[in-house]
Formats: sequence, C-alpha cells, structure tokens
Amino acid sequence: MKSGMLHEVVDSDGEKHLLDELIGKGGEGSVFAVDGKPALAAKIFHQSPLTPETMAKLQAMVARRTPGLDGIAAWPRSIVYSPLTNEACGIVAPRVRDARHLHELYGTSARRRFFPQARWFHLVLAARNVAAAFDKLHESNIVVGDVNQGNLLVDETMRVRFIDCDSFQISSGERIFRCPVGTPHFTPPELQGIKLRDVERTVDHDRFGLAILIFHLLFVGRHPFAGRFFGDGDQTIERAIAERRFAFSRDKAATLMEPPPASLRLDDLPASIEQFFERAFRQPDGVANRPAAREWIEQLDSLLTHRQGCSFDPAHLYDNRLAHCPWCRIEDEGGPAFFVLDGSASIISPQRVEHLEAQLRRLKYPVFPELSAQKLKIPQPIAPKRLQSYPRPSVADLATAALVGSGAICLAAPVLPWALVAGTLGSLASGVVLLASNVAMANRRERDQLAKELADEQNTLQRKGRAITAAHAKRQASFEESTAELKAEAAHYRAADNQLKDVLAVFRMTQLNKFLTNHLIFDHAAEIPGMTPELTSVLQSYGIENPLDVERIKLLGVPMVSDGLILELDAWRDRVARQFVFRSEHGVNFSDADGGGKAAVTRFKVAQARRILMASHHLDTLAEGSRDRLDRELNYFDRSAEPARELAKKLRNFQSARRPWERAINQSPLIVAAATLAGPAIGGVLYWLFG
Amino acid sequence: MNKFFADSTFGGAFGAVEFAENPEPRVPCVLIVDTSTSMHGPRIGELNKGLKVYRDELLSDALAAKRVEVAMVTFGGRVTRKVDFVTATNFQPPTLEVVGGTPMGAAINTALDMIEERRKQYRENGIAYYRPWAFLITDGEPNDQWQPVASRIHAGERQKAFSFFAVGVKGANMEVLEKLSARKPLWLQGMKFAELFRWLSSSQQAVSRSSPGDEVPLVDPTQGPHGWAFV
Repeated sequence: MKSGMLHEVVDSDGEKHLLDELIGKGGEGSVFAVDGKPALAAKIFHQSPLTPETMAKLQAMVARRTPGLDGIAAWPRSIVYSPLTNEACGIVAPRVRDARHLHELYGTSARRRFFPQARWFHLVLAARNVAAAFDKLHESNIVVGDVNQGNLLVDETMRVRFIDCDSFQISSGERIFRCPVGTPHFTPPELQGIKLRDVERTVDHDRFGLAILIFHLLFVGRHPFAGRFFGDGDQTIERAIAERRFAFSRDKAATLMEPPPASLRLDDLPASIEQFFERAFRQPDGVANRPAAREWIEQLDSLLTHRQGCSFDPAHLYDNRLAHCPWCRIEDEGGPAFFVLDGSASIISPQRVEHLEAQLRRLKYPVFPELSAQKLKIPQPIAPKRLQSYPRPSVADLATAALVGSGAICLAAPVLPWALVAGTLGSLASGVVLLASNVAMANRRERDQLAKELADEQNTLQRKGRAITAAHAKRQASFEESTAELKAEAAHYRAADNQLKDVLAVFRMTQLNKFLTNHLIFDHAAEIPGMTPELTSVLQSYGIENPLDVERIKLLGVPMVSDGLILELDAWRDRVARQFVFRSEHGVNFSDADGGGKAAVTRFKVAQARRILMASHHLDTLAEGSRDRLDRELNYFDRSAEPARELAKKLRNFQSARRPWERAINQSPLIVAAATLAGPAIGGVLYWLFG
Repeated sequence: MNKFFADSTFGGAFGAVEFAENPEPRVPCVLIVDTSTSMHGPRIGELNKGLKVYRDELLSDALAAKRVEVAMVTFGGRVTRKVDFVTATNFQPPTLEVVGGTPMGAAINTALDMIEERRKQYRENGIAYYRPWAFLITDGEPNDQWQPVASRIHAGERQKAFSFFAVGVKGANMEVLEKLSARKPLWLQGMKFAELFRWLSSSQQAVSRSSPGDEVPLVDPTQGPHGWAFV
C-alpha cells in the first residue's frame, strides 16, 4: 500500500485484512487488493472518520446483500475499521477478477486486444446481461444512479457485474440514501444540469443510462447523441441529450442530426429495438415510460436467436432478418473492420474481392457545384416609369416650366430682339427660384441621398460577392486536388495485379520524401561537422533546407560552402536516409510482393479498395457540403441584396413621381445653372448670327 | 500535399476510420515547447524525460489513453509541427534538440490553427470533445510578433474555444507571458518537468472522466509534495 497510513483493517466480524497493492483510485476512496485473499478488495474512503450518513448507508447496503445481488454485483460484505482508532474507514467487497471495463469490450482497439474472439453477438449478449443486472437491482428497488461505462465489468463469458456499489441509491425503511453523483453522458435530459445530490433518482432515470450502455455495445462504442449536427454552434453531448437530439433517429427534421460516418444504422436492428431507443432517448417531458430492463432482456434474447454469419467474412455476424450484411456495407464505404479473425486478413474470400471490385467499377466522381455570375447580381438603379397623372405642380415644377419657357422665348431672338431680354430675365429668375427654393432643394437632396445609399449598398454587396467567389474557388481547388489524388490511388489499385512492387515503390518513395523533407538541416546542424548556424541560413536563402535539397548545392554553387562540407552533407543525407523505415502499406511489404504471392496482392487490393471507397465517400460529402455551403452563401447574398433592391425601388418611385422636365433639369445646382444659361446663350448666338 | 492518403492528421478518409474505431470523446491538448538554444543542456534532457513520463502516465489509464489526444509544436529557430494530433495510445514522445531563436508568436499561432483543424474533424466525424488545451513551455521571450497572438488567445478564452496555459522556466519573460495568457502564467520550480507532465496527465485524466463542457477544478500545481510550480 502506497499511502503508508493504513496497512491493516478489521471487519465487523473481527477478521483482519492486510491491504496490498492499489487497484484503483476514485473521488471518494482508493481500492486495494487484500493480501492472501484474492477474491476480496477493500475500499478505503479518503474522508475519515466517515459521516454518520455514509455509515448508515453502508450498513444498510451490507444488510441488503442477497445471493441474487452477489451474482450481478461486487456487493459490500462488511464495513471495515482501522485497528488503531476503531473508526470505520471503508468496506470490503468481492474482487471481480479476470474481467474488464465495459468500454474495453465495445471499444474496437481494446476489444482486439482483450477480447480477440468477440464478435457482434458477444456484444449483444453482454448488452442482454447488462439489462439483466439492471433488472435484478430494479426488482430489489435499488437504483444505480451514476450509470457509466466504468462501473460495470465484463468477463470472457460476457458475464457482467457492477462495481462501486456504494454509490447506488438504496432505501432502508423510510429512509432513502441518495446517489450524489452522475456521469453527464449517461444522465437523462430531465436531470441535465441539475444538482444530483438534491434529487431522488428513479428507475426511469436508470433506464436512460441503461439504454445508453446498450447502445454503446450494439453500436460498437458510438454514443447515441454524438453525430453530425446541422444546427448552429458547437454541439456537446449534454446539450444534445437535453434537447433530445438522438443522432441516429429517423426524425432528422426534429433532431437536425445525422449519424457519424462508418457506423451501424438504426435500421440494422429489429424494428422493436429501434423503437426502444427512440422511446428511451426522445421521451418528452413529464412522461416516465422508457423501456424497462426486463423488456430489453426480452428483445435482446430474441435478437440472439436470429444470428447470421456473413458469406463474405466469417467474422461478420448480424441479424438474419436483414437482406445484407451491415459490416460489409461499412467496410465497403471504407469504414474499419470492427471484427476480424485472428491472424486476420489472410482469409479473404474471393467473393469479397469481387464485390469490392464491382464497387470500384461503379465508383463515380462527384461533380462540384458551379457558381454562376448570375447568382451574384447586384441590384442596379431602375429607369423611372411614366405616370398617367402627376400631383399638383410644385414650385420646382413651375420654376422648371418657366425656365424651359424662357429658354424657348430666347430662341426667338433673331426675330424679336426684346424676346432675348425677356427670355434671359425669365431664365435667370426661374433659375434662381429653382436653385434656392426649398422644394427644389429637397428634391435634389432626397435623390442624392437615395443614390448614395444605393451606391454604398452596391459596394458592400460587391465585396460580399467577391468573398463568396473566392471562398468557392478555394473549396473547388481543394476538391479538385482531392479528386486527382483519388484517381491516382485508383490507378495504384489497378496496377497492383501486375506491378505490386512498383506500386509499393511509389508508396515508399512518397514516405521517404516526406521523411526527408521533415528532417531539416537547421534542426540537425549539430550532426553535420562544420555546419554553423550562419551557414544554415545561407543554405536556407538558396532554398536548401532538407536532405533532398543537398544534391542541388553543387549546381547552385553556394558561396561559403566548402567541398568538405558538401561531402559532410552528402554523408549526413545518407545517414538520415538509412534511418528511414518503410511502413508497409496495408500490411503488405516488399518481401510479400517479391514472393509474388497472390495473397499479398489480394490483401493490398482489399485494403486499397477500402481506402478508395472511403475517400470517394468523403469526396461526395465534400461536394455535397460545398453545395449546401454555396446555397447558404447565395441565400445570404440574396438577403443582403434586399436593402439595395429596396433602395433601387424607392429611388425609382421617387424619380417617377417627379415631372420628367423637373427631374431632368433639377439634378444638381450645376445642371440647373447650365440650363438657366443655355437659353439666353443660344438665343444670343442666334441673334448675333441672324439678327 | 497528399491530403487523403498521407498518414498524418488530415481529416479525410483515414480520419473517419480512426474515429469510427475509437469514437470516444476527445481531450485534445497541444504542447507548445520552446526548443531554442537557451533550453540546451539538462533542461532539454529533463523535458524529454518529462514527455516520456507523460506518455506512460496517460497509458496507465485505459479511458484516458483512448480520450486524450496530444499534439506538439516546437519553436527553436523555426516553428515545427513536431507531432500532429494522436491519441495517447499512439503518442511517441520525440527526442527534442535545441537550436536557434524563439519565434513564440508564430508557434502559438500554429498550435491554435491545429486546434481549429482538429475541432473541424471532430465535428465532421460526430466526435464529442472537451475544451482543447494549449500548453506553452518556454524559458525565453519571443523574438517575433506576439501581440496579435495575445488578442487571439484572449478571444479564444472568452469564447471558451480553448484554454491556454503558460509555464515559464527560469529565464522566461514573465511580463510577456502575463500579457499573452488570460490565466496567470506559472513558474516551473527548478527542472521539475516530470512533475509538470504528471500533473498534466492527471488533470487530463480528470477532464476525460468529466463531461465535455464542464469546468474541472484542477489540482493546484503550486501546492503539496507533487507541486511543480510557483506564481
């Protein structure tokens, strides 16, 4: 024991227990092995002495022990006391051996390690047994409270047992000992964000956690509330739980969620189980009708009788009422092989290869959405329309009429000299009125104001349009690059049959180049005799930074770099290159390829095919995502264009309401002045010529 | 470069396999480590040892090993993405060497970019995640533009986009660190890198058992026998 405080404890029967190694440590206490008693474990609480509340709860627990509970839980046997103080300091309980946390069964990499034989039906069986363990507790009116992936252990036979039972909520007579803690990812929506210490937990709360555990098992580690979220902002699991956004639900319109890629789907399970999950995860407020543990046992037992092996891959097991193997589907989409045979991959049925081959033949490269310039049209000013009737003429209208009239009179100058005088006077007078009258000025101001606002809006829109075009072009470039890569990988796949070695050589070259590029002269100057920081910067300025560039030094003739140093650099490059280790592609290396083994080719092709299918899947999402994105952006642009359209309309209406002459002349003080002087000037010229 | 098929962090095809095999919620942390020449000698040695301790501690906890993700940016002379985000199980602590100046600002920027990219991948793959950590260790002062990065850090902390921690080793310019970080920067006691990384690992283990979005009270690193910092 590490803490050095306690070595020995005594239980209520007076039996002594010597504490051994520390097995686990939690918020409340530490768990130790007991020396010489491999079937026992002792939990020593950090808090000492124990509160009367804790004492009473532990006593109640020990008293409630039954063989039934012993079968599904490491139920506390006895309270233990410190021999020095005679104070209660913890409990002894059975130690569950040769079992692992539940997450080590449903987590794929841990499962490969700790449960290499486990197939999907093992997980179904474990789920069934989890339900049975809950059923036993609920039948005894005990509520787990803090349901989580860590307080259940599962062994090789898929037997499941609870540990850390002292946090359960139990009752003793009238008294209820609450469970003060919870794990948010397993906490039902009605308890999210609530202080759990103050809540009496119900069996229905537990049923939510139970459904989450079963989901984790059936969906090999996926959390039911983790998926792709289409709404705004970051989505946490807690928020999703609170808002009942079950990511695998059929009702996508309500959840705005989609299952994550490469996962099992809800319809890979019997409809009854699908409904159970919907009932458990999307239960509305005020209802307490989540599927009971007993109901789960029934459904899972029934599923266990519908076992079907896949004809392509014996490691794939699924519900025999399905038309196709869901694990093949996931792998065909490029997802992982969740279940593999030992010594794996060597057994690949010819059908499987053919199947992948067919998939690849059908492979279509998605089309990237186009952005037409039409979509980013900026609203322009509109020509005023002709009205049937105009309102009563204003001062400005009258002044315009007088101005035009006076101008016309001026034209009579050659015939009637006094007309020039009268016309000029009239022009000047009406011009002054037009310049200075309030109405005329207001007209000009209003028009200028509207025109300016419109121009501003147009500018803003233009900027937005440019940003959208640029973002789209960037996405397109990245998409096209990815498409090109995908095509190259597909070519590798096709070449594998005849030239596996060449294909591997390409992969090796790519890896080696990447390795060398990351090996900067700058970082390794100390390994190169004669290299100084100054020299590294000189080399850098010539673009020589990594071993691949070393060759170019001779061509460039870099100053200050001696022949000796070049030799050192060469030697260094060779040393670095020797450090490179080829990571075999898909577990296929050169010696396999050399052996000319068909098995190696097959292995390579299957893995490569998967990789291609997954990437093509990704491309689809990329194209689709870009389309959505573009639609959203165009929508946004359209909404942003609304003020400009409004302004253009307003300007048009305003202009239309003005009489055409007034509108034409009363544009700006300058035009008014020009119009004022035009009549007399032309009249004057005419008089001079013909008068 | 090869976005789909390079074995690094890209979020494309391989990412989906990685996340499908291990859909546990992630606790991302990017270490921003000073490898300028001032760190030479025993310091870098202790730091390297500390990194190994960090990996071992994370691996000793099955759940944390699946949830904690580590990335590393070093800055010595230039900024290098030393390790792209990997789960603790796949984290191979590199052996760091010292060289050159202290482009701290650019390094922090790179680290924050990496966090952004990783978050995007989590979202695409339906992976829940905890607030990312950026953890700066330095014994000098930036010789590049760090003011713009300070406002980026402060904005990120306000939006709870990440938590930024700064640890100064003897010789660090604390004034700059204080301006950079929204939290109080800490001094490392002597060369207690191992203790620092032990603390980091156990804090992350605690976080990995909480729920994404929760504030987890961290153990005060300036107190107790395992303390490694002072203010």
